[in-house]
Amino acid sequence: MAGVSLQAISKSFGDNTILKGIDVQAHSREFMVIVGPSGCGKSTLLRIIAGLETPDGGDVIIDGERKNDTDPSKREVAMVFQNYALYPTMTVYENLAFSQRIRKRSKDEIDKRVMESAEMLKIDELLDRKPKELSGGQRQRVALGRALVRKPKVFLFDEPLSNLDAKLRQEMRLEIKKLHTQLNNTMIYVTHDQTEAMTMADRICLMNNGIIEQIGTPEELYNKPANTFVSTFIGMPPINLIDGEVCTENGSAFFMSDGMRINLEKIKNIELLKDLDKHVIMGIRPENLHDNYFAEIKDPENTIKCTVDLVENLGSVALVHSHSGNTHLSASLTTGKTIHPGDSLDLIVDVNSLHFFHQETKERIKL
Amino acid sequence: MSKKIETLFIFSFLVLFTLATLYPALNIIGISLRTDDAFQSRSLALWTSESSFRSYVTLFLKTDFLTWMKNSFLVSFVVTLTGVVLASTSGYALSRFNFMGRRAVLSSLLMTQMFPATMLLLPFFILLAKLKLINSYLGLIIIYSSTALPFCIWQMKGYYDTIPDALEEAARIDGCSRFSAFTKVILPVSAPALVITALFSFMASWSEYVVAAIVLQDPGLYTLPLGLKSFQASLSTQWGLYAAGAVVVSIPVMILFISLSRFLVSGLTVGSVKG
Ligand SMILES: Nc1ncnc2c1ncn2[C@@H]1O[C@H](COP(=O)(O)OP(=O)(O)OP(=O)(O)O)[C@@H](O)[C@H]1O
Ligand SMILES: [Mg+2]
Repeated sequence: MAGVSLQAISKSFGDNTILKGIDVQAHSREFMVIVGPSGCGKSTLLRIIAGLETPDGGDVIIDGERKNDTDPSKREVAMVFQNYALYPTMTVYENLAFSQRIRKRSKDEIDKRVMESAEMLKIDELLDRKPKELSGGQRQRVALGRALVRKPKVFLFDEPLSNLDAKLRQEMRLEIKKLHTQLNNTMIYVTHDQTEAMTMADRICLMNNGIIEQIGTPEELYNKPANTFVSTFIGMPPINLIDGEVCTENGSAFFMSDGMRINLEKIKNIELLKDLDKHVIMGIRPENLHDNYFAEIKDPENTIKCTVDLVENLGSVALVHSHSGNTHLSASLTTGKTIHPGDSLDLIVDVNSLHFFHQETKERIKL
Repeated sequence: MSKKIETLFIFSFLVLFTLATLYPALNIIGISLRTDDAFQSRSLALWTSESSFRSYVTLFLKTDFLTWMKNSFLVSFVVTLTGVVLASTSGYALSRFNFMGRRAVLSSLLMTQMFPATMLLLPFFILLAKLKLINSYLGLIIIYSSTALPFCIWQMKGYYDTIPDALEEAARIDGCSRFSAFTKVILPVSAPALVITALFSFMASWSEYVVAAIVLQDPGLYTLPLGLKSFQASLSTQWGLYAAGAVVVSIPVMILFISLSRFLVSGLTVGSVKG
């Protein structure tokens, strides 16, 4: 049962504070994804867990033991580096066997472990090659294999797929996920790609600028983003955020913004919104906007009249960028009717999937 | 067509230089096979009717050549070993660690290279005399090592700088201590730089004359360059012997270069990291 718990971790490089009190816990056997924009301190955090970097403050607890002062070689964690870091003078076999030779395991034991991992990753054909004779994808597998051979309690991944092409990336995503199901270890996986985070994670830890914005399951982050940053980061294409006011007319609540008026009465607990400061940010995901033309149930109170600016066809859906007044809206619409720039378009808002945020704090308004 | 002319040009250039390099070498082999009085001969022939291996026989049987050779090997071996051990480790420290005085060390190492060895002869002599190291190999080895090391250290540091940190980090996570990550992962990758360091240190001591001449005064301690010079007496020089000695002296160097050159390959870190 090897969980990893980080308590109030802080780290600066010179005057640059990179991590500002990080508290997060990866439970035993959990696949935890740490995601955030480039430069937010994800790699630094991972390196602190591995022991390659010493935190200025806070505790690193692995498997219930404080490991702050333990050498990386003694931490029982394996790490897959962003740039693979294979041993260039050794063959693939030797790369995989290296950690076991250091531990002075018997030849048979080493052989067994290497073959096992090599087969699992389908690199058993490549064992005699040197890293320079491998393709990017194969190197990636060798780097994974080197971690696998260790049978560690904790796996750390630092953007392992970022150097691969889109198709391979998707394949490896599945494979790593499969490995997790087979091995059932704790895995901590760093990426800046929200798709990887959403598809792979048991839980996501979303970082920004050295702090944690939100920790939760992919569904929680998608359905209940803690603030506007989370709402924009998670979800592809990104959410529409619209500044506006909540007004009450004849006892009903409306969201008003330039070119837009939406009746909010169907939302549960809408009273809460009425009591608040009138100024809010409304978030609506592109997938929650529908074309009135195809709608079975029309909803004239919540239909926005837009003008189309640009259409990106993605095959099954088209991403339609449009505006109403000064408000920009992107909608992903199932294709069925060709839409051209300049067309007028009626978009129905799915009111129950709206998100509201405080305009000042950008925090979510819980309804 | 122009491609052919280019090739022709390159080849004639190379042939010219090969000849220029080969001429003295062949000449000295020729001289070593002749008698002393035939030294002035203009003939380029390696082997004439008067040629014999007499000089070589005399060299090995009637002179102290073998003793000099043993002395030279001893000195060069120790200097090479010291050079490789100290340069590989200190270059690593200078490349990887950020400690107080790091920059100062690097620039003062560079500064020592500004003085030609002959300029340092007198201070060296005084220093060794005070330390009672005149007429001792230790004194000679200290001077050879200290003159060769700055270049070797810089050279090693420069090479380590090109090796990504991630390599040691991977090794350490795989279970290596700092030191074994260095010996097991970094050193093998550094083979070309180590070879350069070894060759440079070896050459710095194997063929050095000026410093040896002031440090070693007892003929029993002579290294090869000193020994060869002793054939050059004030009245007559035994050119045959001299040439034979020179030929024999160059053989170990050639063997060393040829056997080590296979480690002088570029791109040892290729395939290790991406990006
Ligand atoms: N050794 C170091 N010295 C100084 N600054 C550093 C060092 N390592 C990282 N930083 C800085 O710390 C910040 C966070 O770096 P880190 O590598 O953790 O980012 P990241 O979230 O992994 O980004 P990416 O997604 O681009 O890999 C960056 O601004 C970086 O410049
Ligand atoms: Mg990173």
